[in-house]
Amino acid sequence: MIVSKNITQFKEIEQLKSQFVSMVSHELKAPVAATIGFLDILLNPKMKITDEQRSDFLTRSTLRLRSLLTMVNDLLDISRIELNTVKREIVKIDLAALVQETVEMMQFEAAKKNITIKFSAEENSFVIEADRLEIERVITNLMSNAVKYNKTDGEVAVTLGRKGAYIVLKIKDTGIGLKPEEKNRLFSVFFRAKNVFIKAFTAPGLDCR
Amino acid sequence: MSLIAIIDDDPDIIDATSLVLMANGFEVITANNPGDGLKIIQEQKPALVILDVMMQEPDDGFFLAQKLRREGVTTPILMYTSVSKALGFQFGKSDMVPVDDFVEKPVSADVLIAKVNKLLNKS
Repeated sequence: MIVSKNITQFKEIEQLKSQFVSMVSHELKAPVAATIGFLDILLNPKMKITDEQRSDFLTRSTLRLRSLLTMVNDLLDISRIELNTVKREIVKIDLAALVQETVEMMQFEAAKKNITIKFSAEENSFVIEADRLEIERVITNLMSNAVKYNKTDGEVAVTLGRKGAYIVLKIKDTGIGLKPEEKNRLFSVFFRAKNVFIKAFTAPGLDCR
Repeated sequence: MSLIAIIDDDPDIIDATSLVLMANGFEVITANNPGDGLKIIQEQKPALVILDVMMQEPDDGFFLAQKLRREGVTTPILMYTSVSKALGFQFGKSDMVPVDDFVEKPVSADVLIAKVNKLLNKS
C-alpha cells in the first residue's frame, strides 16, 4: 500500500515536471523565435523596410532578449533555492509601500484585459524585516497570476491588515480559481492548477470542450 | 492576392510573419486570441490560416482547429508549434489535430513562404 502510494506520488511529480518543462520551454523559446523572426527580416535584402521599422524591430528584439535573461535568472534562482545557496539580505521593508509599488507596476498588464486592481491597507505602513528581493518576487508572482488567469473586465482586490501577531496580505481575483483539493498542493514544486488546462472561461463563442 | 489569417498571441510573431507575407504579395488579417481568430475567419474567409498551437492556454490552437472543422470550415491550416522538438513530440495530422501542416518556430521566411504556397496550391 505504501509502495503503491509512493509510486503514484512519483508519477504525479514526474507528470508535473513534464508539464513544467513544456511550459518553460515554450516561455524560453518564444522570445528567441520572435527575435530570430525580426533579425531574419533585418538581414534579408529582399525585405524593403523603413528606418523606423528597423529601429522598432531592434528595440523589440532587445526587449525580448532582456525578458529571456530575466527568465533564465529566475530559473537559476529556483536552482539556488533548491540547493539552499541563496544569500539573503535582511532589511526593514514597508510592506504597504512595496505592495503599492507592485500594484502600480501591474496596472499596464491589467489594462490589457481591462482588469481593475484595488488596494487597501488598514494602516499606512507595515514594517517587516525580510529580504526585499524575495518578498518582492512573492508579491509580484501572486499578483501577476491574479491578472494572468483573470477574466476580461475582472478585478483583483489586494488588502493588507493584521491578525494577531501576523501581517496578512490577501490577493483575491475574479479568475478561474483553484479546486479545494488543489489548495493543499499549492506550494509544492512544479504545481500548476489543473484549471489552467481546462478552460473554465473560453473566448466568446468558442465552446471548445 | 490571397488573404491569410494569422492567429497568435505573440504580437512580435504576428508582425514579423505579416511583414514576410505582405512582402511576398499576400494580404493579411490577424487576431491574438482564439475567439477573435474564429470571428475573423468566419467573417473574412481567408484562403489560409496560420495558427499558433499554444496561446493563453497550451492547447488553444488544437481546439480552435477542431472548432473550425466541426463548423465545416475547410480552409487549410498551417500550425505554428514551438516545443514539439524539445519534448520529442511528433505532431501528425489526425482528427485530434485537424490541420494541414506544421512548422516549428522560429521559421525562416523562405520555409514559411514555401509552406504557404504549397497549401494554397493544394486547396
